[in-house]
Amino acid sequence: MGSSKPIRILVVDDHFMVRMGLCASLNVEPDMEVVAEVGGGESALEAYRKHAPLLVIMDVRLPGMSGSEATAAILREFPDAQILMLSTHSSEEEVYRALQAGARGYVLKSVVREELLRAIREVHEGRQYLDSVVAPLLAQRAGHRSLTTRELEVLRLVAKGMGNKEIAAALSIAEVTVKLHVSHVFDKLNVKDRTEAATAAIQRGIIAIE
Amino acid sequence: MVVLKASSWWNLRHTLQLLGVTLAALLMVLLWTLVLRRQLREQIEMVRRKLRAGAVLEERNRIARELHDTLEQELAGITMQLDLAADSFQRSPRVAQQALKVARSMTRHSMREARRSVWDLRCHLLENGDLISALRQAVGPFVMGNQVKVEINLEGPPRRLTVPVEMNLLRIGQEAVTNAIKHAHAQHITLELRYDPQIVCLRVTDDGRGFSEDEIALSGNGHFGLLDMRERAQALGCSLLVKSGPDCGTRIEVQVAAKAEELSNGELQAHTYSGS
Repeated sequence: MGSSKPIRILVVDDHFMVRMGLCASLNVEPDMEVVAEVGGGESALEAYRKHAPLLVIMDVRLPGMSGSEATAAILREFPDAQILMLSTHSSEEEVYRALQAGARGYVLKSVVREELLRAIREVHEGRQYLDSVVAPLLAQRAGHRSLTTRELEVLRLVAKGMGNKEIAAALSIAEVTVKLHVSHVFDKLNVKDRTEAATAAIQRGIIAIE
Repeated sequence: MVVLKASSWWNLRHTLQLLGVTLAALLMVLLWTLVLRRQLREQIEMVRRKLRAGAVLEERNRIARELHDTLEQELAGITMQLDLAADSFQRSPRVAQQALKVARSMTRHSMREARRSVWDLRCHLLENGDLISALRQAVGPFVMGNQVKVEINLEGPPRRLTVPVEMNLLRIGQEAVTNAIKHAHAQHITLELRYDPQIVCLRVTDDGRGFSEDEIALSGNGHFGLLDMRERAQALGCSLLVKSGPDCGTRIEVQVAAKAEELSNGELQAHTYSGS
């Protein structure tokens, strides 16, 4: 809390109750000031340009552009931006993507206020801050193999309950090829059948229920 | 010895044999039809089961979305206010009090939202209703008992939209009418739903007491109706147009870009890996 100038913060979250909670919570701290709040990834970049905040608190799941995508977009233009991800639930995939995109910290919305404040200060001082729940997820993700884009497409359709024939038609590829992709997906996700594959994919955040 | 006439092939033995063969063939055909019919019935049952499973899946996704997107977020927001209250109780009681007031309003809002969400489960809008009849149903209970006239107009040929679009439009309509009755004390409310080829427009107009910009800025005891509608419009990728002023009524309008639904089950969206 040594610096005299407050940490100028931009809050990005699609739910007004969360935004209200964060603003109320942070503005009473003498070393913090919420300078803007927006509800989407696209508007986050605009707000960043306009308000030049020192730190961004970014929700992971946003309608349209995701939190990770918005993070990447902001960092492309402002490489020094400090971004702290905030999420209600997190899957290994989401954490992985956010940190890949360049976020400096990741905390859950369920953390106590004190810890959130600590996370903000840590990130502001240039250190990485990961929630204790989040760190093991990241380690888990490191042990998994990534799916190819095609495998991901196939998996998405499997999760919708489509059969191989339907998937083949939808993607305009041969049914044998679909079968091959499906077996690779099962292998990589370490599952036995289609239902398990869909469940694992949603649990790990590889695909999302919109 | 001369054979005058060969004995007819049609003797009793042959006739009986032929009859036997025909009967056997007939029996086989009958059996075959029975088998076919059974297969058909099984297949119909299978298709029916699949359809039912699809509807269940869609509903389950909706509930999951509702829990993740709404309830969890709301609880997170409320917890933040309570946390703040607890932390500032000693230091600055006024901050604590304000935080508690906001938390209370938020809780009320969530309770109402939760009730509506359950109501959605019951109304089965997604399965057999269309948006206009769902809006009628949603608005009905608010009208009864109040001295309010609600007019519902439909323009253009209606079509099914994706589940999130219909759900959010329904909630916006419901919220706008509730606000008009509860807060604006309107006498006459018009709800219009217009289907254009590319756009669906929902407009709610009332003759109530309206509100000024200052009133939109939320006080501790405020209600979140307008914020909630804004949020829903944003989730649909459009904005909520609000026109209101003291004593000139209110008009709330939302225009969604929505072509005819392409995939009815298209609730699952894949993300691509950003790395490697």
